[in-house]
Amino acid sequence: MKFVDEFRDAELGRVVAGEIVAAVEPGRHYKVMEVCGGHTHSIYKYGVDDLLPSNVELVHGPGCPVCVIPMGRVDDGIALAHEPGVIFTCFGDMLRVPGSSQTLLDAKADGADVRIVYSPLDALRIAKQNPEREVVFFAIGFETTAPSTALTLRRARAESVGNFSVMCSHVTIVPPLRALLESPDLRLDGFIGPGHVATVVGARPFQFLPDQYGKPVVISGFEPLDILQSVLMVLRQLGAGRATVENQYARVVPWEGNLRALEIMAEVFALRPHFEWRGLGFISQSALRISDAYAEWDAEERFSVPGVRVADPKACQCGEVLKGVIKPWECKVFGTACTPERPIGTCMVSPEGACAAYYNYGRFAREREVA
Amino acid sequence: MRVLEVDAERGLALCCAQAGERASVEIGLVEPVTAGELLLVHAGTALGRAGGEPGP
Amino acid sequence: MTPETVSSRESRILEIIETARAKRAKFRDSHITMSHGAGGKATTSLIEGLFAPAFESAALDQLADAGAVSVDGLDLALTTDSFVVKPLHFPGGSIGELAVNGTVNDLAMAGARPLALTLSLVLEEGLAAQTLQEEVQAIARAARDAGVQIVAGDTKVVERGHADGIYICTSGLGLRDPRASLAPDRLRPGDRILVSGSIGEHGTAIMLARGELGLDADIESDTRSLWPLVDSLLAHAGPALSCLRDATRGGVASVLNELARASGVAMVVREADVPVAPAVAGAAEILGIDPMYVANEGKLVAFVAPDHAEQALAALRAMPGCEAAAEIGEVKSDPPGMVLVETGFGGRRVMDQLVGDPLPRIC
Repeated sequence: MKFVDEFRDAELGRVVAGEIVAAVEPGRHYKVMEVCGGHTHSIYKYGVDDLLPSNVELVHGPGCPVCVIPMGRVDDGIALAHEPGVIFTCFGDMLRVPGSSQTLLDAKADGADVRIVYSPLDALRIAKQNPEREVVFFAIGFETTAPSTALTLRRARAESVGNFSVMCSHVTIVPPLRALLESPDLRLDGFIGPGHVATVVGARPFQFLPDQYGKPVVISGFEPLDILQSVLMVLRQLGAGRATVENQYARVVPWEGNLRALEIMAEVFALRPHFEWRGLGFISQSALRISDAYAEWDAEERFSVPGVRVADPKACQCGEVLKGVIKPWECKVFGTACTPERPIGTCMVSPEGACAAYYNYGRFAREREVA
Repeated sequence: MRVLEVDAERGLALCCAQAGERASVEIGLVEPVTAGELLLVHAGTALGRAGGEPGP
Repeated sequence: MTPETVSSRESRILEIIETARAKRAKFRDSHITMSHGAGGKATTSLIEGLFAPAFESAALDQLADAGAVSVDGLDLALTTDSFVVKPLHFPGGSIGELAVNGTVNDLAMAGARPLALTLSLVLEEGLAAQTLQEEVQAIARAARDAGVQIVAGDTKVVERGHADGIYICTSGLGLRDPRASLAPDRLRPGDRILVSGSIGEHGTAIMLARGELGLDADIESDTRSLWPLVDSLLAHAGPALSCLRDATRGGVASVLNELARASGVAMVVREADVPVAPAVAGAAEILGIDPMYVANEGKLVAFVAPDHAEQALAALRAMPGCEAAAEIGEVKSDPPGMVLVETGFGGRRVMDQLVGDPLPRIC
């Protein structure tokens, strides 16, 4: 694509890749987790891992907000979408995520009015255009999308839009990281920190990674060169025996984050005592609900949401894949019962989920290792 | 995305990306902004500035 | 596990995947969803799993854009296509032009000179007469430009709410050009892959014209007749031209995947060489969509033997509106059935077929 700026320059990429080769100790295997789904997407899109030496492995983390929504929650959303008179709005990514028996795309085929929006504000606009209908927005995402939802709810209140409500499934990034680090079988050397989340929450919340667990973390931008540079910075910390929070994405991420966004989020949201993550189980204080002040716009208050709980499929080992304990192909159902056409677990849902990526790319990754 | 016009009353800015694609962006989290500034936009909301100049 | 058993287990799993990929797709869904019309894997499952086995036709089994029929030594091509689009008018065209060009292009991809079309209209009760008049004019204009005659037609009206304005079905008859011998099984490793211009314009224009995404850019649909391009390619590359496809639903990526699977070859695309207009690239980036999967209505993908690739490309570039035509990659032998991309950043990845439509994404 004739769309290349300095952060997509292949020449510069090769230079940094060379520095990475120089920074690794031969014989040592490195596992670095990129936390954010956006990074996973860039790595996949640009073939970034193709430029890394074979002993530097990128492990795809839990930061794909679509993939971590548990089945029961999807079922709840589908139930809402089927309520008479409801226009159910969500991001395009959610449409194909499997619930226990349907996806939202199937619900649409069954007659539910499901619409894709690019921003929660678009959902609010649909509500204003259809005053006789109830418009529900299925809010998902980490601290990157939560401010959008918060601003939209403030607007809904300011403009007294009575037929709009939000089914809030926003999650926070730090608790699942902590849960990962607490697990005894974890094998990760360092982290690539989520640049967009950090734009909102700042770099400080990631301080616990080096302080309490001795793991280096580098907050990274999303262009391929950003990611390569961040990998290099993690490797250099490891080489020097250091562990700190470094900010590779300083051109965007201020150390303290966006204070106004945090204030508004504190006003509109409250912490849930616990929330279920697909593949990771219940994690306490890891998700947001709508605060009492905004209860009027809370879809879970307005409708009777079934509150479905569906256990993750037994055979699915997404949790272990996410922790880097097993490789996708070591999962019992990988490639047989669980495929990109009929995914069972979260890692197979989006094309750059760890399992879907391996399903498509595995053979080449392996050839590269052998070569 | 680059800011083209600011509608401070509604808290919105008309922004454009590299090749002239235009979108209306919520700027409640980064106000005040002025035309010409670069914003980091996610889901229709500006989360921060993407200038490269270190903040104050 | 010892290293040997680890790697043998991995190999076995990879083999399972490859066998599954090469198999004829099965149709196992309980309902039709929008994915079945998107030209990706779900569509393939319908065609390979339901239609082809039911109709047992050798011409249909070729899964080409148009079927080959021979009558008394006359080599004809026959095709049909339905058109549903929202909105009916969009920057760069309307449903009437699509209905002519889409069918004309299906004929052209079979190496057939378009001769005649039939036209069926399904109209919704309450449709403004002016809208119909405009579309009829658009159809007449496009047919004139493409050099085909409308020779038969039909009109049905359904109750309000049972259709969306206008649906159009056109069937086309063409005369297969003796210079053409085009088929997926003629693809050979070494063949060069050409596209006739910058990609992703039609699908992006439609997505933005629906106005649901709050995004706006100057992008027009590329709808046009491709026969003049094919005519010129046949004149300059003749039998060196092994296969042609118009990259409609599912975009260039789906066309390449279909052909790689059908003929058991691999394809490697150099992403940096794929022409994409900056406005399309920008809109696609904002929406999280890859232009390779976005529909075109006036772009063809041509496979040419290496010794004629340069002439073919020059012939394309000489056509008005095709200045951006480019060689974007090459047919390889291994791994069979797969399409690989060399990214502009120097990495490699697989470009698989999508299950359904590309959906705007947020994460």
